[in-house]
Amino acid sequence: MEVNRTKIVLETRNLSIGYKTRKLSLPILQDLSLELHAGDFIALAGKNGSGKSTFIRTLGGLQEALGGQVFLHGKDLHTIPSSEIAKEIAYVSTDWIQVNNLKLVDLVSLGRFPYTGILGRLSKDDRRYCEEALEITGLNSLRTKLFDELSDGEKQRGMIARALAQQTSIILLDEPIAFLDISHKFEIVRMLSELSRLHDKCILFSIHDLSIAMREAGKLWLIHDQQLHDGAPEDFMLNGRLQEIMSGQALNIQEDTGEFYLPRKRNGQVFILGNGLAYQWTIKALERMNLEVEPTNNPENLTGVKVNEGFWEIYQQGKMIQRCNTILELTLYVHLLKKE
Amino acid sequence: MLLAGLSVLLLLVAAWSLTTGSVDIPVSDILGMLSGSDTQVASWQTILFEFRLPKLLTAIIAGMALSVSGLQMQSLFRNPLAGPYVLGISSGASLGVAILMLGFSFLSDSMVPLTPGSSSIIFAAWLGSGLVLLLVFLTSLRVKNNITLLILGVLIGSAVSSLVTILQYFSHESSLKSFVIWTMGSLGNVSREQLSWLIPVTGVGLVLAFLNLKAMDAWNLGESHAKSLGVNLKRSRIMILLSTSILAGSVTAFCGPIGFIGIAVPHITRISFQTASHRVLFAGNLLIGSLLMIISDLLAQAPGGDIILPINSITALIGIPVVIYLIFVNQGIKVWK
Repeated sequence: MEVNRTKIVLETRNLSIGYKTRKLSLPILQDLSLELHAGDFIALAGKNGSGKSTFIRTLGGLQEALGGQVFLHGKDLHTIPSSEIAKEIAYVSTDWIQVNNLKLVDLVSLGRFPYTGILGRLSKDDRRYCEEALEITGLNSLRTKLFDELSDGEKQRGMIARALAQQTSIILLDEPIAFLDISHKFEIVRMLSELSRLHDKCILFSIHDLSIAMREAGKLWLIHDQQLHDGAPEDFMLNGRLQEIMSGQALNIQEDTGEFYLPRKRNGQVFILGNGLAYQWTIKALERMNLEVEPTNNPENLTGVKVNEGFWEIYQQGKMIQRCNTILELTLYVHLLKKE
Repeated sequence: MLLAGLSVLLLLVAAWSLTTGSVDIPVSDILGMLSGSDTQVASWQTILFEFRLPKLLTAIIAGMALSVSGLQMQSLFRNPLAGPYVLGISSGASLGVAILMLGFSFLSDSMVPLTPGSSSIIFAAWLGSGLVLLLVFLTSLRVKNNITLLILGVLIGSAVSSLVTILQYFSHESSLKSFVIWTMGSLGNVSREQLSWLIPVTGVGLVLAFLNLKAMDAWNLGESHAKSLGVNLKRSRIMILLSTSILAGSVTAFCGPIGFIGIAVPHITRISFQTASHRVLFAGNLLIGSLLMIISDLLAQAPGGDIILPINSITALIGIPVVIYLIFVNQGIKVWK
């Protein structure tokens, strides 16, 4: 089987990462031997403090490794000056940029920093790369806006545009979607995945939202118990590793959909009769009220909820006791059943 | 556009300052003397070339040097209250001068109080600020965090100021007075010979600052991003510290501590130019800094013509309203929030 179907851009050998103080070193992860290829789209997941940021910073040459090596295009990262690394690895950190009077287009043009001369003047090519980056990230219309005045999602896209203008083969992003609302989260992740696919960039991003990582990432690197596990997101489901990792935690994972849920203590049982979308959502509502929901086809002697077109009926031993027009009403009256 | 306007304004104010003083010299004669021709009054020659011109040049240099070092300190520490003296440069210079003026007079009564502007005072001030900066500098090699460095600089500065206070407490009245006068700053004590030192030295400081402008743009995004863009953080920080010490240190040595310019001008420039680009800010600081300094000097001698007020109080009195006005117009200083 041909594993290295694409070029290796970044590689770690027996890398150990962590923090060094004058007296002792505190390793977080050890003996990491991993490969990153062109076109890879890798989500790095793990709990807070599991070493995601440290790993990313070490890969980018921003932090010293405790041991082992990182190779950039086959060359030991340690021997490459930071001005040269900057032409191959772009980095977007979680640091919130706080600077006034910075136009978006000027922020993006800072991505050309490794290529410009001592004064930082932009050449025609430099400008073209900035234009491309603005175009790809869909920020063209906001170019003259001040960074300060952008929304969080736009700011993050601006930082990504800056990384694109840097024209690197690798982009490392630390928690790029941490502070965004759910639709922006998906928007950014989807944009990054397109970038890796269409432009053959190797993109590694850390994320603590496992459900988005499971859904969108090409590869999942999951840090658990000081180990980094490597695989396609689906592999993690099928080989049971994810369930294993999740065991002992409050959160459970649905084996067929990969959705996460928090199991509830059930206090009561309800039968439900019906079909369609309204039926599905009614089940969700009742489950949220800590009821165990049993589907049934038998309307006789029903104790539970009957879902109709546009209204709901609560039955007690076959007798209709309450009619509801919304799910909200249903949730208010369903306690009539619970008394039994 | 704004830069061009400021340049013209600077030229006008500079010319005006040459015509201002206790002796009235016609503008035509001044222009004549500057272009090399003789005048009917011999003393005018002396007044222009030995006093007014050196003072004007000193004002320009001081304004440029203090503003640019203030800009560097504010950007390095991302702190709007930082200025050229934030790392204890002026305290160090004061200590040097205090030891010379007060310490020695404490040892012997016979000593004549030194006058500001004498070479020994310049040397003492330079040595004092140099030593304090060396201390801050050595700390900076161990401390990676800029804010920690800022706090350490402030602490070292305060400790040094306390030493100066102790010296003042034990010193004689006459030497105390000349020391206090020194702390008020003065542009008029720099001779032509001394200028031939001051100009090249501040030139070096300004070149260092200039070479670091691009990196300072990247610092805007924070240390991690700056490093990821290829900035050599250590080298860049050393250059900023070195340039600031050269600039603020030499101006303080020659003119005494001149307050306010270094804090205010970077803000005035930022507000006027509305940019985050240090290339533009650098140019703006050079112009506005020297402009404000010359105007302060003009005002310092304006009232009667005979007395010259301490430059330190004038820089504050004209600078503060400017900054307050700009703050109100812009609804607050928003630099790093």
